Amino acid sequence: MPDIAGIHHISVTVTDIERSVPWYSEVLGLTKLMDETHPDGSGYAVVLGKPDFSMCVGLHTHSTNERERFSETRTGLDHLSFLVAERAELDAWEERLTELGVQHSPVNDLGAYAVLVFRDPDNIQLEFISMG
Amino acid sequence: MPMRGVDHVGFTVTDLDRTTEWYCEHLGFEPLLRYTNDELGAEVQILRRPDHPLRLSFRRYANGDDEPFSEFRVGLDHFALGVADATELTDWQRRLEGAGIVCGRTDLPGLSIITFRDPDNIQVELCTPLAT
Repeated sequence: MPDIAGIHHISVTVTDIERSVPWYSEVLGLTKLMDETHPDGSGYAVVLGKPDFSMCVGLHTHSTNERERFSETRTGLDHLSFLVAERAELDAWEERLTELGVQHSPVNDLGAYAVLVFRDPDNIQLEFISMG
Repeated sequence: MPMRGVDHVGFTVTDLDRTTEWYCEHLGFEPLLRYTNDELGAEVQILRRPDHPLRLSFRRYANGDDEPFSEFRVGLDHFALGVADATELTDWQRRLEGAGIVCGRTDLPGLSIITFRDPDNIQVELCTPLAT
């Protein structure tokens, strides 16, 4: 079987891309890498990430989207997890999310790892994770 | 406090056994852990590739909606796994198509992509590395 190198990118559907692009850029510190029009003309994507393309998150808008609120119990995405270097960074992120008024959980220590869960403007479930 | 990248992605699916079988058979994942999370009201299956830290987490919620996935709803649009180069991508395409999985292929300057669907209709891609 051929190999897989890892996660190449992840793309989410949002209800208001004009709202989500600045939110992801500011809260997560991502840079806009490119725009991408859907081939069938039904919408477009803005790809954010790190300038060296080592991490890419696409935000998509679809003209048929019904602008409902995200729920992780619907088939598709449950959550998206971003790795940070160490446990102490989770405290720093918690402080930053509080400053920015982003709804979030306390840092949750779970033995082998710790997580800080937060929500984007569509209620999409995101988390920071530290290992060890 | 920069993030290192995407650590993992969690998906909501309708049938954990079917999903596990499909990702193991077609994409070379192996079961790592299965447990019930009473707090979430979900059964969780974590899969990994045998050769590196990539993990995918799948949840089946007791109150899940059993709908097939749609990228037009808020949440996931698609997720993409990386492969080494175009030759390896072609190997994957042959393998998937040989198993009866319909693949679309897009070749752009500096990026080739194959797109296909998992049993819940979740949109999966395999991509060559992005030019930096």
